[in-house]
Amino acid sequence: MVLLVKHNLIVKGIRKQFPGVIALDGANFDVRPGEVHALIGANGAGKSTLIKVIAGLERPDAGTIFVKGIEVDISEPGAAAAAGLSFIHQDLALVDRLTVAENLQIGNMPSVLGIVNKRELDMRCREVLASCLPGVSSRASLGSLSIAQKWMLSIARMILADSHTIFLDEPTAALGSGEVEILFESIRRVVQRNCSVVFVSHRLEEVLQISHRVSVMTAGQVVATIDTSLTHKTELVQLLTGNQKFETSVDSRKRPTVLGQDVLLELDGVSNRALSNVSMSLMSGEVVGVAGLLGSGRSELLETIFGFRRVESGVIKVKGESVKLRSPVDAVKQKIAFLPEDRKSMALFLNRSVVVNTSIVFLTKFIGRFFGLMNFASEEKAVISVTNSLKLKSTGPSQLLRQLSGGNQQKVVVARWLCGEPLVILADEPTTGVDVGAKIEMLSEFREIAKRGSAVMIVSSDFSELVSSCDRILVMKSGRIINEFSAPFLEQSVLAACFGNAA
Amino acid sequence: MMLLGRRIQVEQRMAVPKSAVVIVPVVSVIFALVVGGVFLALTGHPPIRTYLDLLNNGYTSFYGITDTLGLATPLICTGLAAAFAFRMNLYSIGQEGQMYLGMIGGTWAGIVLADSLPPLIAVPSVLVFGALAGAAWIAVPALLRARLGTSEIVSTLLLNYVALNLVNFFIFGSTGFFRDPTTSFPQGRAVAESARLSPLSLFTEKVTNTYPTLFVAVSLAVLLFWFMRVSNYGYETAVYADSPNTARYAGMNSAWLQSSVLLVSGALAGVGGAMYVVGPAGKVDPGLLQVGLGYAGIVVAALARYNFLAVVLAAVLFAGLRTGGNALQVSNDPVPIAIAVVLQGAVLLFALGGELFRRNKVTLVRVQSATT
Repeated sequence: MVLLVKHNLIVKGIRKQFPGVIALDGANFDVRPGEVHALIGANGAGKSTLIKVIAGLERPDAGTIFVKGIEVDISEPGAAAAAGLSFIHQDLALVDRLTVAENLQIGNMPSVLGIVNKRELDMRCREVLASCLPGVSSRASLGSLSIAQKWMLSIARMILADSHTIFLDEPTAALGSGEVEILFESIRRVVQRNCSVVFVSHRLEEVLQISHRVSVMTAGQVVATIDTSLTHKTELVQLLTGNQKFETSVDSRKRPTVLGQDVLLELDGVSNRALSNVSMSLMSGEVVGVAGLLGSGRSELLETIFGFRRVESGVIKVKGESVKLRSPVDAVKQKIAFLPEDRKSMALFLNRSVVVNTSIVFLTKFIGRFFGLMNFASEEKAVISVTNSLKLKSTGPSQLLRQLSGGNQQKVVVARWLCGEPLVILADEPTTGVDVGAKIEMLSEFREIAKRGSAVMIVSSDFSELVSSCDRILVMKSGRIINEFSAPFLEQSVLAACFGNAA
Repeated sequence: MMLLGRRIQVEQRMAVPKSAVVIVPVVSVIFALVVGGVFLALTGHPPIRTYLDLLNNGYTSFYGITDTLGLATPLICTGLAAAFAFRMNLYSIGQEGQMYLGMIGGTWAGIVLADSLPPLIAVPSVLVFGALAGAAWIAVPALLRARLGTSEIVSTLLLNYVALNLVNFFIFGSTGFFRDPTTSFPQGRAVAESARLSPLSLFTEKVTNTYPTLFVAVSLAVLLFWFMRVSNYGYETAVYADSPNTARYAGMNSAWLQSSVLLVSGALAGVGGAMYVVGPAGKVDPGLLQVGLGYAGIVVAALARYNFLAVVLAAVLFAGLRTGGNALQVSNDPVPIAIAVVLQGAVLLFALGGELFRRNKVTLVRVQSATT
């Protein structure tokens, strides 16, 4: 390590123990001025705990933090900000109704007697806007910005607040690939100002593309910090998974060539507010991907099939019979399952046990003979059998969901639906916030489910994931299916189709 | 908050320690008594003696405890009604109105059906019709809530006033079915004798105000406590309350869960009203309207933290404060009823405040500077 470099941040020997688990076991981490430093690690490796310690949200049991060469005691969130460290999470904490400039200066508005001095406001923001968000007026309303631009605005806000090290928590999770590029452009401009960016992500391609150095965490330690130019994807995956031999994708050639011929689900000219004239079908044994940029209608397609959105015209058929899906209740009756994108608020009862979360939808299967009273023994047995088949890692069926990692939480959601022997599984971004190992497990589990005669439909912004795990890929744009590919496919051609470049 | 260079730090507990479940309510009541004692002292009443009087008149004397149990009987029902809805985050405050309707429905059954029935069937049928009427009174708010998401707070509250005026209309405003035809004095028509229960004498010659319906109320509490723990319905409602959004995305039938919970809640309050019919009133009795046991049920449910068994205890505690407070008014050193009301309020405030200590760990920490 070059001694002359005055580091923005050095974190040494951080230990943090939670009841029953050592989250951080002497983690070391440093950030140089003007660099993009990627922090990667499987879920449960200690990434988020490390960030919480640096942010002052968790007190470490041991270890020291130096900012610009001076040891600091960060015991509360305010102290981190005062030391020039800032953290941007996916919810972004921006106000849609305010303008760009107002959002930049929330809590610090130049005002006289409560009346905001707009000119002063614009003045303060001009310089930072020009470098972070070129071409965006300070008076523009936040609602008119894309998600990538909102990230940049959040970063600009931190720069105005004199932050020198900005942590970005999975900034690309909700971005289409075009937007990712825009964000990266701006990040590169920001680091030229000698600000540093810590980029936390699961997407290795992006890490390789944007970062100068990359730190890999496993088991509460930073096991390696490497110059990005000297590494490659395979090495990172090996580090992440503890040198375990790992195939990065499900090999498409191993797929069965003959698929089942039963049409499980059919959409015929389905239109509503978000979709226009969508026709498609799902056969048993298939894994079908839906690609498209944000706003292309890909999530809305799943929501329509699951009964969240009204079908205004057209027909949905399940096993050849036309069905009316007025609500998710109807969809569940038709054995359609749904894995929502936002696991925490839409899929999980975080303060409930694995058993409850797994059995809750199909409770009637565990009713004894008398008056709908639960047969808890059979419930637990069934839950254990289905969670074991998914290789769920938990301390037992009574563990609370919030104590599980993202991948294991997702497994519980899958287990829940498997209790009802679903015909069709709709998965919206099933691998967001899921570590690399669990991601591969999840995708091969979908394959297994399909082999047993169901159909799986996956919406994902991760093209390589779709390409490696699907039999067909439907490409959507402004509410229509504009293209369809069959395996084997080229990632490039799917990508091109999404942007509307291909036929 | 700063205090002598220290900061009060409130941390959410991951798990509530078992001891807190008992200690916090007990300490809350003690604090409430201390605050009430200050009030008493300020108004020139010796606190200790007044408390002893209150204890005697509300709980420990024969007539005190029987009056209290009699008052607690319908209060248990309205408390259960509130707890049942609140634990699913449905804030129905219509127990008052549903109770009136229970009285009306029960009286109707007591007049029309009971004549030809033996008491063994007549009394339950009065209670059942009371329950049906209570449920009917909440049916529209329940439907609006489940289908359109209309706030049940407002709709149930407004219906309380409608119910109140309905009772007034039946007795004072009209000479209809519920009005006693034998006299011009405005009072309700009595139900058949077979639909009435005599008060419990508790192996004495004395006439008490406690009716056997007390056992029905307590059984209801036990039944609910047990059923909601072992049935899939209890399971689903509890989980639903945790995260309605998740429940929706899991395809759980939220319209059914919400409306059924509200209907059961209404039925429970209705039973409370019908208990007046088989018990002390025997008719539609506007005298009941002054008691306000429907609203008191909300307080009881809150005190009991929506636990059905605790509702029984909270109802007895609350009823005792009221009977005791009433008795204090007519003692040698009359204490205004307002003091008893202050005490009730203090108990509730401290009980709810105690929740903070149950859910969170509160510690004093020395304030440190951010950087050293």
